[in-house]
Amino acid sequence: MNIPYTVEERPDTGLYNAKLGVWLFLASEVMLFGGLFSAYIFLRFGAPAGAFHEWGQELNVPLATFNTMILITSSVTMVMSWASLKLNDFKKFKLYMGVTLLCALVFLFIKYLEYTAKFDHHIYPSTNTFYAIYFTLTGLHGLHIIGGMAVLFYLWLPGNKMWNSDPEQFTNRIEIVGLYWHFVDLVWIFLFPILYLL
Amino acid sequence: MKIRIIGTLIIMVLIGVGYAADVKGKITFDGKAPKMKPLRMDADPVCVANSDIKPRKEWLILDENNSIKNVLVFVKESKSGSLADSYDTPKESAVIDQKGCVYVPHVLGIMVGQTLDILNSDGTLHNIHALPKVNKEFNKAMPRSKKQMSVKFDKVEAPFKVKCDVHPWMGAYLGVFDHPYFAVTDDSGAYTISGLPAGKYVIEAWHEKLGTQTADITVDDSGASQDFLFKKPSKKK
Amino acid sequence: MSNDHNHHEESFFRKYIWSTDHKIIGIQYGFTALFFLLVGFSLMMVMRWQLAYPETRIPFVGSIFGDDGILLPEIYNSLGAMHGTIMIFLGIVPLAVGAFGNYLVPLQIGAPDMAFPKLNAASYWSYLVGGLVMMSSFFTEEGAARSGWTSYPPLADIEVGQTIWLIGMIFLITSSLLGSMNIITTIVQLRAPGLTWMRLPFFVWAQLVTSFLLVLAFPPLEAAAVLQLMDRVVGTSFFLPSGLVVSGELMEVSGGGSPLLWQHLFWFLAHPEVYVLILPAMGIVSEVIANNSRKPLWGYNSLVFATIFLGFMSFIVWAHHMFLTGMGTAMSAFFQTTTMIISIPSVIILSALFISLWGASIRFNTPMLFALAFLPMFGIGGLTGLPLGLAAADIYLHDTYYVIGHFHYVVAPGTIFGLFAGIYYWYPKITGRKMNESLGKLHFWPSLLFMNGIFMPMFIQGLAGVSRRLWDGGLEYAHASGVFHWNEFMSISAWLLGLAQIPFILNVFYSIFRGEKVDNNPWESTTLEWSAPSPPLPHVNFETLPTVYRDPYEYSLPGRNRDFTPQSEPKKNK
Repeated sequence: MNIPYTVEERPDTGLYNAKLGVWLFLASEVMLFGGLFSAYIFLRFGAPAGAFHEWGQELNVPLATFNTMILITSSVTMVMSWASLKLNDFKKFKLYMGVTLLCALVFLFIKYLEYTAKFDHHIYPSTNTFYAIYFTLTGLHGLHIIGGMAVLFYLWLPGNKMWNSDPEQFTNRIEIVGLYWHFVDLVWIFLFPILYLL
Repeated sequence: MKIRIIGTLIIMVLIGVGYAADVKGKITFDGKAPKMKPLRMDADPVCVANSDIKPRKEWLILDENNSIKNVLVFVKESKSGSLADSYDTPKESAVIDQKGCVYVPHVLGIMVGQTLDILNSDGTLHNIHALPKVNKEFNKAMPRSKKQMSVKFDKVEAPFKVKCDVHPWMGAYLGVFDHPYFAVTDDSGAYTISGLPAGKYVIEAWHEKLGTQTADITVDDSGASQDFLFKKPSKKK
Repeated sequence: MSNDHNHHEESFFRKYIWSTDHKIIGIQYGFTALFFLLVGFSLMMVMRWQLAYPETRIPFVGSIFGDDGILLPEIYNSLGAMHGTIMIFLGIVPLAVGAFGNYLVPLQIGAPDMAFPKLNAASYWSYLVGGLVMMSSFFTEEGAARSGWTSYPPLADIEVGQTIWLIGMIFLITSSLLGSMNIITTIVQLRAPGLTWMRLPFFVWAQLVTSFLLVLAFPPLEAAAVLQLMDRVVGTSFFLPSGLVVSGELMEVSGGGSPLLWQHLFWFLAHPEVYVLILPAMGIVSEVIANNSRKPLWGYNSLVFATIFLGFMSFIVWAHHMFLTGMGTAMSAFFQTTTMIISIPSVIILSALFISLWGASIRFNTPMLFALAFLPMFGIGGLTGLPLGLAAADIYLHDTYYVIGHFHYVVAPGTIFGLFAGIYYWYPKITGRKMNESLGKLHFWPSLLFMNGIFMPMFIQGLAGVSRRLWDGGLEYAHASGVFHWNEFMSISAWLLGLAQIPFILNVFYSIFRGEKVDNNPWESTTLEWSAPSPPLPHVNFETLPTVYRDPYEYSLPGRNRDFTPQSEPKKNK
């Protein structure tokens, strides 16, 4: 017997199972990053006045701004790939999904450049509390990107056979991974100002 | 040809053995001896009961001639290459005892790999917390029922502190060497480093509060003598 | 529909090991968690020897702890930290949520399985890996964690053994997150037709609120664990202040962090965690009481709303664990007020369960005995918590044995009795046989007696000011001398409590083969799980998925020909 509402929506809740599941997962992610953001606030208030701003001057704002653009673009192409499936255009889906993955790669590469630049200047997580929280937050965010990329890649190439066997569920999967992707994007949109600009 | 080489070697060894000699000296304190306060141990009644003599603070122990006890004197380097690459680890263990809530001895040299027996003669809880920088730090409790434990150090290290977190006044210092040429001054401030092969050396005298001093010495078959004079510590720090 | 389940026969491995069937996973969770409970309890039985007879050779197992067989302080600290960790994170939560939640929630809501069966299996395996990682720390050179289950820095940042603890915790947190998301989705999405929210059995409500607490409270601890891991491995100073002096030596750290940050993040999880421990037990006890008092639960609606309110409030009481940190009187006043408020829903729940017994013709079988014992035991645990919630009283009582007595009354004779009630009650559903009643009573009465024998004297010691976590039980302290002799009494109670579990273990295995065979509904219960076969069919549970027509506890309603009416029984057309 199949489990009900894996694909179709339950009438009284208006959700299919995985959609509720991913929202719950995102709620827990909000709490995870929320915990780290509150650690950031705690440390910022604990540091000497202005020290966090001072320490943050070493960061490369133009690169990070570019990275923000990249991630926002990837979010847009993510939506486009889902919309393409809704419009039954599998080719466009593959194109947009590929662009999304490419954006993610570029983001990670720039992040790598930023990290190595810090290490070259002998700035490490142990340098001060600002860099401790900087590396922790961006590192964890980077891991989320990598995890997301693994899933995107699976759905892009090896997993796309499902489009033929069960297009509706495949579209749902893209929607769900898209929700996650937007969340990761959103986390960055919070990270960017508090780490680079404030 | 072979015989000559062996013969030369034998002679060299004989000379070496023949030339091994003692380095002696005395270490004194320059200036007026500071007034030392007695140790207050009443936090733990067992300590008071176990202490047969009136204990006093241990960071500077002088006799009537201002000779300093508990200075660790050791060969720091050999200038003529007459130290061997390695020495056998002594079979007998070094011993440090916790007795009357002080460490006996207060300063101790030990060789790499040598067993250090840590005794607890007090009927109370001690913990032995070694604070090396090179070797592995350890912090082991020794309740009254635990009379003995053993540790080893596997790296050379300048003297570091060993302390008891239960009785904050308890402290000892431990230096780890890869050769047997070290000594600690006795009650009369005298030390003897014995069996040192002839050659040129730098020796160092280390005191926990007064710092270190080095001297170049030359050891011949009659040995060598080197005294050190420590000054009162400056007020800084 | 039923022709779907004559699918191909699964291999043994697929069926019982890598299973995705919620019932098998529930049983896996159950046995693993019971095993860990036994391990955690054994650690404590060893520690109690040291507390009763300090510095004497431990009988039987002494040789594990060295030649002289004495439990040294550092090992004592490890055992203490691991006892707490194992009992909470490896024992009770997996048993209450993993085992009971997994097995019963789909059955009680008339679903064929959990919403995400593979995720469910992943949750179990992550739990098992986390548990094994935790246990492996005993065999490392440094030994297991020693900084208490709360892992307060700076001690936990410095002390050995903590890294493996943190890695283990991250696995366990992942497992709990996966499991609880699954339970919420299952309850929201897979309720049988007609099973409206206010027709849910109270157990399902308890699991729902518990799962929400896990989803929202565990991630901050995960964040804290990541930060502590960074401190230990990468050398950051999230929790290490500048100028930190340890053992008389200045620490070489970059500094600037705060130990309080850990406490905030930790207790933001760990206070809701208390309700994670107690709510499933309340749910089980409610089911057992309703069934064996043959009456509808008194005040079902107030039970449900009290539980939801409890869930909300549990997120804003955490700092009552931190009155001694000097966070200020304004903060203390706020948190002691919220703490007093959160006691109200707990009292509502307990009162409703007590009132449910009023005028009932109670069946005193083993599950009911455990459920009945839960009420006063949890009552003692709850009421002794009130002085701890008041900042002024807490200043004296903080970190004494009084606290230990308090939370053990909540968790041991409270939650664990609730879980025992559940095991005895649902055993016939899982196996098709009842557990032996005589062995059950032989398990219950000594357990009740010795539980109190262990924990009641802790209040006496705590009020005398004896601190917790003392390796010698207070032997070296003058103020403890008047109450030290209780240690022997408590230890003997603990060992006898250990003996009292033997009938239970025997009963579980004996009854699988020799228990009295029963039909699908031996307790004449109303909820949906009893309309499924015993054991429920693999992967589908029910022969036909049920439809629900009534409230969960229609017992002894006048004018019916039986004293119970199952939820799935259609209403007669008038």
